[in-house]
Amino acid sequence: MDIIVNPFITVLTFLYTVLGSNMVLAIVVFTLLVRLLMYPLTAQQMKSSQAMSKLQPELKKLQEKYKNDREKLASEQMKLYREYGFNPLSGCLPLIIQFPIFIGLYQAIIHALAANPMQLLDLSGRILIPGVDAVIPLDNKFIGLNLTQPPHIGAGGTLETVVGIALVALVVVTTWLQFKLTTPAPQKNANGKPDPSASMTQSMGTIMPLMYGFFALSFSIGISIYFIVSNLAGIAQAFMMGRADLRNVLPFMKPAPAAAAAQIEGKTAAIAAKSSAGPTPKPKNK
Amino acid sequence: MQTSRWLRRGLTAAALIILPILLSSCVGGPVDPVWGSLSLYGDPQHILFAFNDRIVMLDPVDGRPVPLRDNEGNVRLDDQGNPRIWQILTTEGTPAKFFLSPIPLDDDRLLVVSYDRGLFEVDAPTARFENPAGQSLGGQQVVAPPLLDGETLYIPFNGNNLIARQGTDFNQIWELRTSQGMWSQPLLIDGILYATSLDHNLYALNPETGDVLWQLDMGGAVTAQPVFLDGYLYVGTFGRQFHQVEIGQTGRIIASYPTRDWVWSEPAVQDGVFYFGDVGGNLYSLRNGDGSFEEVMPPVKVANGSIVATPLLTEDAIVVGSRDNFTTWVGRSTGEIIAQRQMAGSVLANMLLIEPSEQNELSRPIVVVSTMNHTEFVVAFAADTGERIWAYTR
Repeated sequence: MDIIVNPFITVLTFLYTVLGSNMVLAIVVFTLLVRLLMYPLTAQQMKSSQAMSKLQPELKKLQEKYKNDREKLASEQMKLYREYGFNPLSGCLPLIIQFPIFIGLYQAIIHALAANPMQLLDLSGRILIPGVDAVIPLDNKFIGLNLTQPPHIGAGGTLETVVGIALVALVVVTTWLQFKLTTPAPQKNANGKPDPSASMTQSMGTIMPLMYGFFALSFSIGISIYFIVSNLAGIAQAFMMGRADLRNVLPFMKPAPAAAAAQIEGKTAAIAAKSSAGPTPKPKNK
Repeated sequence: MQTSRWLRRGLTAAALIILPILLSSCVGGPVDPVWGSLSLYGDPQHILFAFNDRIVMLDPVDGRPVPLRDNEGNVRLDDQGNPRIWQILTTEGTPAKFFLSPIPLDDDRLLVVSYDRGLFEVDAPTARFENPAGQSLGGQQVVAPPLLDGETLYIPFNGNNLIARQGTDFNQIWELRTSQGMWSQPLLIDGILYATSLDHNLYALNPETGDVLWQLDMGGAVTAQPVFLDGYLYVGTFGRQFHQVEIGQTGRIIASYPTRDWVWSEPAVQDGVFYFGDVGGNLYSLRNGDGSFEEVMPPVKVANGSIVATPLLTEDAIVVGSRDNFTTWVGRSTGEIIAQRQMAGSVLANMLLIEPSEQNELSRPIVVVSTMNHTEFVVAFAADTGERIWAYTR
C-alpha cells in the first residue's frame, strides 16, 4: 500500500506548501486531482452500471423464459450483451482499480495529519521529494478545529459543536445525494411489486449515508472534508456525463420514462423471438 | 424464491456489517499514541515504568514488581491475603493512559501526568491515587514530561500551548500559545525558561509571566529538549540540522551540522561530545569546534528503523534503541556494532543505565530498555556485554 500512499502524502504535502499552508485547501485540491485522474475509470464504471440497469428488465425476462435451461440462458444473455455492446466485466475492473487508490487517498490524509508522536514517526521517510518535508508537521487547524480529531459535538465550545454538526450533516446529505442522483429509480416487476434487488439497492441508499455520518462522527474532521469534496466531485462528474437523474431527488419532475423502456422492451421481445425462431441478430460490435 | 430472498437479505446484512469493519481497518486500529517511559525513583533506587494502562515499580536486580511494605517493613496484603505490589492499573478504576515518568513532589508523593485525563497525585508508599478523578487538563493531551521547578509546574501540551500552573493546587498562572504542539520538556537555565515547539521555534520565556523574551526559527519542527552546555544550547530538528544556539538578549544559531534525516530527541553528552540518532537509523557523534561541528566519527547507519531515544553511553559503547526492534551496542571509538539484541517490540523510550551501588545490590552495571510489546515491556542487559539479565512482562 505504501507504493500508493507515499506518493500521495508527498503530493498532499507539496500542495499544502504551495497553497499557503492551508490544509483544508490542500485536501480539497488533492481530492479533486485524484478524482480527475480517476475520471476515465469512474466514467467507464458509471456507463457500465447504467447500461446494466437498463438491461435488467430484459435479463429478467430471459431468466423467466429459460429458467430450466441454464446453458441456453447463458448464451442468450451473452447475445443480449453483444447486442448492446456491453461487457459485463467493464463495470468491475474500474472498481477494482479505484479501490486501492481511494484507500490510499484516505490513508495519505490520515498520515499527513499526524496528530501524535507515533503518527508523526510513521510519516518519516514517506515524503519522497527532498525538502518537501521541511513544512512538517502540517498545520492541522481549521477555523479553530483540530483536523486530526473527530468533531467534539457538545463537548467543545459552540463553534466546535456547530461546525461539527454541519460537517456530519454535509457528509450525510452529499452521500445521499450522490447515491440518489446516480442510482436509477427502482423498477417494478411484472406483478407490479418492487424488484427485490432494486429494493436492496434503495435500502443501501438509506444506510450508506448514515454509515458515512457515523464515520464522520468517529474519524478526523480532515476525513469528513475528504468525504464531502469527494461526494460533490462525484455528483459534478455524474452531471457532466449526463448520468445524474434529478428526478430521483425531485419526484415532481418525474415524467414517464416510457420511451426508453418501450425501446428496450421492444428489443428484448425481438431478441427473444429471434432466438426461439431462428438465427441470432448480428452483434453491433465485432 | 423465498429462500433466495432471505439469502439476499442475509448477504446485505453481512455486507453492511463487513463494510464498516473494512473501512475502519483502512484507517488502522487503535495504536498507542506515544511510547512509554522509564525513570528511577526512591532510595534504594527502583525503576518506574509507565506505559498505557500501568505504572509499575520494578526491582533493578531481578525485574520483579516491588512489594508494598508498611511502616514496620512488612509486606502489605490485599483482601485475599496476597502480597500487594507497587502497581497502578487504569483497569482498576481510573480511565487514563500513562506514558510519562511520574514526578516526585515530596518524599511520599508522586505527580502523574496522564496523556489525556489530567494530573494525578499518588501516595508512593501505598501506590494509590490521592485524587482518583484527577485534575482535569481540559481534555488536552500531554506527550512530554512537565517541568516542576519549586512551586511551579510547566506543562507542554500537544494542543499548541505551554501552561504554567501552581505546583500545589494546579491553578493556572500563565499560558503561551504556539502554532503547533509542544512535545519536549521545557528547560530552565539561569532564570530563563526555554521551550521548543513543532512550530519550528525555540522560545525563551520569562518563567514567572510567560512573556516571550525571544524566539528563534530553527528551520524545522523540534521535538527534542535543548541541551545546555558551556553557555550554549544544542538541539536537533526535523530540518535535518543539529544546531548550536547562542543565548542572551536574543537567540542566534552560530553553528549547524547537516544530518541525514529528522533528529527526534536530545543528544547524550560526555566530554564535550554529542551523541544522537536520526529517524533514518543513523548515529552521529560530534564535537563542538570553533563555530562549527567536528565529526568524532563519521555518521554510521546502525539501524533500519528510526532512532528516537537518546543514546545511552556506557564505558566503551553507545547503546542505541531503534524502531526496528533492536538494541545495539556501537563502539564509541570505532563506530562498529559490538552487539545487537532483538527485542519483542520497538525501542523508542529513553533507556536507563544503572551502576552498582551499596543500595541496589547490583553486581554490575545494567542497561534497562523498554518496548511497546507486552511480552517484553522492560528488559535488562549487562551494560558491557549485552547479556540479557531479566525481563518484565505483563
